[in-house]
Amino acid sequence: MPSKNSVLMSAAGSGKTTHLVEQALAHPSARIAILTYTVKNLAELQASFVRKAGHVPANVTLLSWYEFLLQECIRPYQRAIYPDRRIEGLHFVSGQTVNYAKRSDVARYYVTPGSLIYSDRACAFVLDCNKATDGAVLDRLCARFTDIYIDEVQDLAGHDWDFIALLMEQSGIAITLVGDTRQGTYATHHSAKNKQFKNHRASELFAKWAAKGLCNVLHRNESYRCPPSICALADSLYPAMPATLSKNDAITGHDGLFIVAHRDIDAYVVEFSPTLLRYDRKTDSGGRLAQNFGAVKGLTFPRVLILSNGVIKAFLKSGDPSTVASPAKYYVAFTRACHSLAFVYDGPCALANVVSYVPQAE
Amino acid sequence: MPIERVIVRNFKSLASLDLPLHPHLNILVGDNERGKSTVLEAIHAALTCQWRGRNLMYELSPSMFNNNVVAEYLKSGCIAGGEPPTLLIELYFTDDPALALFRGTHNSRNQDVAGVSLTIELDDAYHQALCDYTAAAPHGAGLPVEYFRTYWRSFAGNGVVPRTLPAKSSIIDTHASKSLSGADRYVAAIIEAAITAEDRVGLAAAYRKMRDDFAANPRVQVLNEHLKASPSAISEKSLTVGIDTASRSGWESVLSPYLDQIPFSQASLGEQSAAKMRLALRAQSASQVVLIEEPENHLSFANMARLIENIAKEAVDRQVVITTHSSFVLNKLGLDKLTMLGANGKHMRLDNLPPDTLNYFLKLPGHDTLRLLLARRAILVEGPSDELIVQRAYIDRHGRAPLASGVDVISVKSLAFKRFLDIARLLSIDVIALTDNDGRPEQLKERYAEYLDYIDYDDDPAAPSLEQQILKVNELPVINTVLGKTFAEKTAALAYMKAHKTETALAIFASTQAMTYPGYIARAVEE
Repeated sequence: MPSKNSVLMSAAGSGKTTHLVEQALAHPSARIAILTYTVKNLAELQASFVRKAGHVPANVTLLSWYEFLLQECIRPYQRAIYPDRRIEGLHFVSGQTVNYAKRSDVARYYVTPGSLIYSDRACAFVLDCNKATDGAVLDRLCARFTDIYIDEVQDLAGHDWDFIALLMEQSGIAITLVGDTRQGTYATHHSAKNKQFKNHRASELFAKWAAKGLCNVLHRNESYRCPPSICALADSLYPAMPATLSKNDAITGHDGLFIVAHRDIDAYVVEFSPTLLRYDRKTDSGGRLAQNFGAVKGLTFPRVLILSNGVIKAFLKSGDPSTVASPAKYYVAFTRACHSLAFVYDGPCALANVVSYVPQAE
Repeated sequence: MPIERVIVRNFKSLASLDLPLHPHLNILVGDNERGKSTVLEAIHAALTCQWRGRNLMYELSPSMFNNNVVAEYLKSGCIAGGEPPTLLIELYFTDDPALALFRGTHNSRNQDVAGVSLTIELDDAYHQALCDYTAAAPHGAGLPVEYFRTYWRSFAGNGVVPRTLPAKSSIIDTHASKSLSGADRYVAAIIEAAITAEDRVGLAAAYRKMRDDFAANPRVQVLNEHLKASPSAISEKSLTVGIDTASRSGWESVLSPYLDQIPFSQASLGEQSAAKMRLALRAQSASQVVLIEEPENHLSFANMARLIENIAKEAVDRQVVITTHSSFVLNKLGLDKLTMLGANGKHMRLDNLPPDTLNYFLKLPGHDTLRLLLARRAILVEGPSDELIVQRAYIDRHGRAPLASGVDVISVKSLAFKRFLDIARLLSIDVIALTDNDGRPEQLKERYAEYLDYIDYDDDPAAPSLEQQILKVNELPVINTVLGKTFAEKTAALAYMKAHKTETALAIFASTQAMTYPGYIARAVEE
């Protein structure tokens, strides 16, 4: 049976941002909220609307996940369980809040002395608040929105899932989840709750929901961004997931996978102007401008040169993807390029289809 | 998007107000100093976060707070652990799913409803500073508003983004303009509310282009050449003139409205008021709240009649709140739309009057309705003679005219007593109706069965009229002195008095002779 709710799992470069924006533009009479976790992706959504329609239409509200929780779910009825003061904002918790308060002790369990709500407990607050108000939180959301799209859904965790299940089950709002579980580079929080569904394991949760008739699960496995060789390399990091079908057959004369010797970096940069990526700031960039893997999710670059860290070097040397223990960020970095993906690496490479860069003769 | 209810705390003269509003037309009447205009200011402030045309956040002034509340706080202050005064204005919107953005329970009623609130409260960081201030401040010093912060929020608890607000507000004050830079700016604000965003952008662009064109004009260039050539005494740098393109001031500040080629500010006050109201009422958006202060000011009767007709028509698809002192405005626009503002934010609405009573007043042309509404206490009498006698009795008792104490003696046809008493009862106006018994007190008792607390008469069937009542309680010589006559018997006096009712009443009113008054009159003039 078709459900009002759907989960769309898509490969990197499948154009899911574009897809969301087109969906929204195709429904001018719907009241749509589009939520995402990172500020960068929010800007990307906004830019996509501007490209396609000139502006974000009035029936579409773009919000970050936490803005949505705070403004649309927590504050309106917070007084039902926390009447003391207005909740001013979020207290971002890395890891879990440990303050030994009972959940029934709302003021201490959920809220800091400065009236900020602990980010890892925000969704639990929403659930408690909805219960205490006999569903007023959901009622209001129903009046606000007919559709909620949640992008980068792989970043959600813990109580987020319970809240989304509630929205799917008990609200009249059509919920669309979009994401790529391979790109779960963040988590909204690190709750013990539902931790088995964190990041790429979320697909198991979606399968469970689909079995209960809560939602349809669809896959988009085409990549309009990356050429076949890059798709294959990225896919190898997640052997259990369906393979990505490349829809990019553009030929530029420098396409696919490359190895650049350390001494040739500058020559390569001059010749191809790639975007430099690194795992994090601990990887030496030699003073060059490089972006971290975690910061480029959702972005597209013509060419990418990766400043290899130890993990990548070991992978290239052995050719064995299982050497990449937590592959999400690597998957993101590998799937940014439209034409060429190069690694800074000296020595023999065990991967097939990788070409060593030779600078042009002076 | 009509406003359903306004709650105000500690704002100017309104220490506390909880006022329901009609979705279309609302007429506020009340004595001076009851805060009628303040209600309009409060609605405007909460819908725009503006104060006299500027952002309220930067315009905080001690005069916005209620004097009594502030004085009370400053007197007891932190020593008694008193709560610092908080200024609050809440607007409750009519239930509409499209307003869900504004829905929540962040309001003083803890009600799940859409609305906005404006709060000015002590910034917690300055609590100690405020305590020190109250301890040291001389009495009569104002509230140090520098320690206060302004919050403009929806009932969902989120900050208000003005663009998302479903209603614009125009406030029309028909007094001589008191705004900072004259009438033009005031009118410009109304014009601005009336035109679309696209028009506004177009106007701004056209104005900028005009300025640029001027700067590029060869004559300005000549001036600059001249300046460049003359050595400057002030600075080594070269001096030129140009148009200040950095300033934000746009077309609004230079546009001046004209009425028949006469600059707006030079037109008569009446014309100015009428034009302002026409502009506001013609504004594009139907989701507009129009606030009009005393539309009768400076207008001729004919102009006012036209204007009132206009207001009544326009109020069909927008919300209008009017304050007035004019019973004509009141009667024309509908007594059922009336809200009577009493002392301390108390108020009453007339829309639950019996329909026939309402109809009676809708046809009534005079000022009697408003007299009743505005009186602290009213004595209803049956005619001009009774009125004069009651006036005299009051002066005898208190040494001053009744009006000087806010007591209005209103002469009403006795058949209309019930109508007036309906209103008085609804508004809890202190009122007493005085009547003759016409020789049939039982019939009177029956007719006014539901109004017995509000009516007084003498139940002696032998003294059915005012004249007989007066003769009954005064000796003949007293009557003779008062009337300047020499009647030998009371019957002769009565015959004269009956035949000359008005002369008799005037004589009694003008006489210095001490008199006794019938019991029901004596009781009525007691406070």
